[in-house]
Amino acid sequence: MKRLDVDNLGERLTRRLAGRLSRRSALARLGAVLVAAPAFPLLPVQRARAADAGAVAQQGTDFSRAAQTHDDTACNYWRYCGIDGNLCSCCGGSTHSCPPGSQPSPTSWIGSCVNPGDQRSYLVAYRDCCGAKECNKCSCLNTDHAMPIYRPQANNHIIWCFGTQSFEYHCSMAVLVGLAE
Amino acid sequence: MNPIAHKAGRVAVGAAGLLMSIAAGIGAPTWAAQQPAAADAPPVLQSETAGVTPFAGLTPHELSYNTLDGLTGGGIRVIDGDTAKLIATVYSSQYANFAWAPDHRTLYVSETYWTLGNRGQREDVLSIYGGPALSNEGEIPLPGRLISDPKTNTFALSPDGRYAYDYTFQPAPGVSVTDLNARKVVTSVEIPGCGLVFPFGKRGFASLCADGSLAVADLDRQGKYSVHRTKRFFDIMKDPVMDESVADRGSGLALFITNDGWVHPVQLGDAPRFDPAWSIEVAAGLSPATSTVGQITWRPSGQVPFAYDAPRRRLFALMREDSPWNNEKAGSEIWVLDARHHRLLHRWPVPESALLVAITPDAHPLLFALSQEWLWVMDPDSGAVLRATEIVTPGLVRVRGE
Amino acid sequence: MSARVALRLVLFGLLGVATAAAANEPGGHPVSQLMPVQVAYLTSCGGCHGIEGISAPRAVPTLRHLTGSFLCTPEGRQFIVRIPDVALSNLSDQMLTRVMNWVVFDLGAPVPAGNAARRYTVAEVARLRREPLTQTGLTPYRERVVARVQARCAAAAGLSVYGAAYGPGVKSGSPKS
Repeated sequence: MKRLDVDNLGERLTRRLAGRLSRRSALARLGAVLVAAPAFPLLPVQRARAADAGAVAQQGTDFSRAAQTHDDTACNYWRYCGIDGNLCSCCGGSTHSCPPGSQPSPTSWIGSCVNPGDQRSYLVAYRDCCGAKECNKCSCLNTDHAMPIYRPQANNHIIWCFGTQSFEYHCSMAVLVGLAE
Repeated sequence: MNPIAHKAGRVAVGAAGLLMSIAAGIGAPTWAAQQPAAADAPPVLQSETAGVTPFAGLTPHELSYNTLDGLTGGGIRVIDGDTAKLIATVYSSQYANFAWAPDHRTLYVSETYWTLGNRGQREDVLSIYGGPALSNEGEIPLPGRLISDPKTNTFALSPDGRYAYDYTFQPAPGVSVTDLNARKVVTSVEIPGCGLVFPFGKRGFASLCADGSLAVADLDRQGKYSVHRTKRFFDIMKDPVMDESVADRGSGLALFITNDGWVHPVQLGDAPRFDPAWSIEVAAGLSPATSTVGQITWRPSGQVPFAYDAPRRRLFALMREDSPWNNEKAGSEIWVLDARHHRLLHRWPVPESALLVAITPDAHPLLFALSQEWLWVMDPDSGAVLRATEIVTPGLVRVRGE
Repeated sequence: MSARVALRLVLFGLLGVATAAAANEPGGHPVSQLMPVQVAYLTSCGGCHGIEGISAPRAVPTLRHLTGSFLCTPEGRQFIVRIPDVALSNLSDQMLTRVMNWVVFDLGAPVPAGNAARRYTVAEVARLRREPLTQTGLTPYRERVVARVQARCAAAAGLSVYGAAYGPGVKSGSPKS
């Protein structure tokens, strides 16, 4: 899977946002999420109080300090702190649903990411969607506390398609498991 | 006789003869003198016949790499560092690994296919390519293997080239051992909690373990594999040893390098010898790197960030100035380190940024730096960029002897 | 205002609507608070074994409703702590004991009544994990342990599903996997 140079991310993100002017397509996408996700998580996305801004900047991880909580098609979306591959959100799926034509794998690796809105740690299951050709959109590689391949429970280079029909990797989800603190 | 039919028949014969001579030409290597059978002169005297450019084996200045791109689906390419030209391409599946035999001519490819592409019967095989046309010479069925992005140390040959070791992950971890002469898998060794293979000796290999130790596997007196663990020498949760650590096959010296740039030299063997660790950053006159949030410093970073020049004991490391836990992003410099005296020799900036690095093992080595799109050939002693070529997204790289 | 700002307002506005709607939606619920023992299980084991202890059963042993059966025999009780990935995990003795009890008595319930059907103690787990099964062939050893467990407890039939799932000749994608 191609890697995105995160240093150029800001520029690409701006271009992508500017290109997505269609209100209808944005609505359609959100609508699909509402329908497909009865367990749509309510994140306590609090804006850091101005008085705590300095303290907040000291907490979290280096990734969470640069992360955002509103655009799941960008590599610095807070849940993607350990993602490797294409974002299913850019491929017709979402952070927790596979695009049609692919299947979710029952296995995954589980990492934890800090939500910059509330500075708390959440467990995220990086579950791959398998069975279709590589989506080849929104390629990201983040390795916040990712482990080498000989500790597979936290490795994001293993193709986590065990239990599906093949290891044809399509995209990666970042499924919220729960609050880890 | 129907004149039209007769003419058509002669044209048909002529066409068949032409096709046959073309076929003969493709089959016949161009370097071998063509000996037309005396009694059978070709009906058409061709200016050229088509053959295959002979492959003389991986030369010291050639680089081989496989592709990572999920759309093009794999493949192993050989590039000549002296000319930056593509020399050969061998087919492989996605997520393949490969290694050259000590004869530099035989290529072993560990790969996986499903009979119907994204479904069907799974086939894990060790494919063999060789000869002057790098032709397929069959395959050895494997009992399974790891499907992951290409990682250098998931597949390796024994130093004498007689056995192949393949890290399997079903997801229970193990290493399959293939006898390449007999062309069959002889055993699988379970290595619970560990992974990767670093071969040593005739039949031994070491694997890195999640508890911070090494697992050492070798044949016991009954000819069966037994595995034992060494002491713990790193803390994986705080500062893990990187998968892309390097080992010199000739001497059995491994350099296990952590995210924070600590180099653990280990002489591999049944009783590995752990030499004192040294820090890449300290070798460059900096403070040691840590994984403290916010500490921006130079760190080893990349997809294949290390190359080891064994004859001159130089470690080449792709380096990036960044905060912790970003060790797979591209590096902006190649640091050349004296691995014996633990000193920085040079810092060479890379054109743009690089994800992979390699050094050839000969007396006048070439330094290779690769990004997702480019291969730069550099002089390791001056940092000069000698030539460059566009490449397909690389997965892992091997030079002669690796 | 620019189209880009307008788009953001639309997205945030909808997000506000969505959160309110989800709170009232059947099945909608706020973010789950995980217990420390669950976090330990999930980060050390849950990726392969499944968040709820269910995964591809022929590739990875299923835990849900099955691990309790290992306590049918003393040997089974010891086995699951001595599995190398358990014994050599990065968890402290205390946390590993809590995880084992959770995996057996919560995730893996029911636990058939018997001599071995008591909760693990820290001292016991600390002792067992010092003898990980790193030397023997783990899969055949497990088969023997399971066979003896199944001889005692009929409910343990599901323990046999795990085996070599991806060797040659095994068709992937079959419904059982």
